[in-house]
Amino acid sequence: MNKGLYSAIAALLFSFYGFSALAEVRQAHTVQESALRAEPSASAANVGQIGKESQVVVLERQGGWYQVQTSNGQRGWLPLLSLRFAKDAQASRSNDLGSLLKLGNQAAPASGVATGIRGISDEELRSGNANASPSVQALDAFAASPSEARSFAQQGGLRRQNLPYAR
Amino acid sequence: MQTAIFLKCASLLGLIVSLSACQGLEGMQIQGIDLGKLASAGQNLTNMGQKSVDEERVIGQNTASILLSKAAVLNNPPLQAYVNRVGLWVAQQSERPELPWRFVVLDSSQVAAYAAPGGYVFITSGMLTRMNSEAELAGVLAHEVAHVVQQHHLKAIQQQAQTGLLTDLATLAVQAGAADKGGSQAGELTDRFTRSVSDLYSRGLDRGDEYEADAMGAVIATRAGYDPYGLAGVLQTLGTTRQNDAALTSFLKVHPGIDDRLQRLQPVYLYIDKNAAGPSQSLDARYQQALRSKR
Repeated sequence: MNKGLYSAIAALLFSFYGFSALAEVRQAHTVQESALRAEPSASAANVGQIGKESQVVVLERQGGWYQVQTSNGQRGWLPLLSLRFAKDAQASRSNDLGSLLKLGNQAAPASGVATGIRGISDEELRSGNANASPSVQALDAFAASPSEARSFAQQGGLRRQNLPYAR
Repeated sequence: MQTAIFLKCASLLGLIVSLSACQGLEGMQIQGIDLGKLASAGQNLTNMGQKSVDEERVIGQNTASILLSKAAVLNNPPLQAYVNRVGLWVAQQSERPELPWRFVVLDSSQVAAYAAPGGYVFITSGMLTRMNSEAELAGVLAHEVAHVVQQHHLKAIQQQAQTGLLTDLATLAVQAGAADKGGSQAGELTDRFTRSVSDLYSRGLDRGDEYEADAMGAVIATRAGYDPYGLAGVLQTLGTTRQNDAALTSFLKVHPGIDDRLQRLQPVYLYIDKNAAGPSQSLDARYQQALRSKR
């Protein structure tokens, strides 16, 4: 009995991670001619020129760079902004994560009627549903204090730096 | 002669500059100018700065309250707390760190994030599920923080409601809030605020405001120590979703095309790559763990 349950959970977890791993390999195309680099850096060796509208498979991301494999099997790094991903099954993957996120919470919102705007449908904006909407003051319960935010950043190894806006 | 006049002016100027530190100047006159009045005028100027922040806050509270009446808050306190920590850390690297920032996850499958005046930032659970790392979340929140810093929504609501003065808009907002709580103020005047807010959030901001928030957001996230490419990564992912995906239609309706936004970010990232120093974090594992947290 327990064994069955465990294997079911294991299968569920496996399919979840499977999805994540699959999502790492994605089809993309270039939107501009770019130099294929040996390393994720503009100063790395140029190992080939990739034309506009070339199809590549994206293997990995590192900062502003994607490691790709070209149609003739060559591997190298391209600037992140030189690529656009192919339309794919992203939506179905996110739905899986979405239901995971809401386990134990309220029922999923009606889907398929999302004619809306920024998370809120036109319909909803016009005739508010006042039920179950917390007051603005209730949001204070989730608020972080500056010191909490600082130690949270520290735990993540985040270090602030000064950088003016680009002009 | 001319020198004498100059000296008189200079000493008067010196007096005025030091007035903020003076007290009990009522009735004291120098060369026919009532210093008491001048001092209180200076006092009003500094009060006005605080007053407009308070008014912005009142307008923001009532805007947030209108939006909250249309959408449910995700019932997941640990996740709400996590998003608030990321958000506040990011906001502290902006030009308005002292605002009482509030970050809210809405329970919606749609892909959306938006800001309200005074430091409110909303993001849907549907958007959270499409992101892969804390750096991506930080990039999106930084974009919204930039809207608040630049007062994009405040200015747009003001324009929509056709109130010349911030004080008038704040009054409208308070009346709308009172009417909502069952007060007797309901009427055309109170509707004007609610209608202006609804119109703005269904229409979206001007393209220029969105481009500006993208450019500022990428820099703010970098200041916070995150991988600068978080925002670009999210935009790229959203670009992969089919256009007929109902969850995304709203996002596309109120934002400029994703291709256009990525293109305009190119010089910003060139600038960041050249000028940012030190290590940056992506924090994929911490993000995935936060998404799995249960109440």
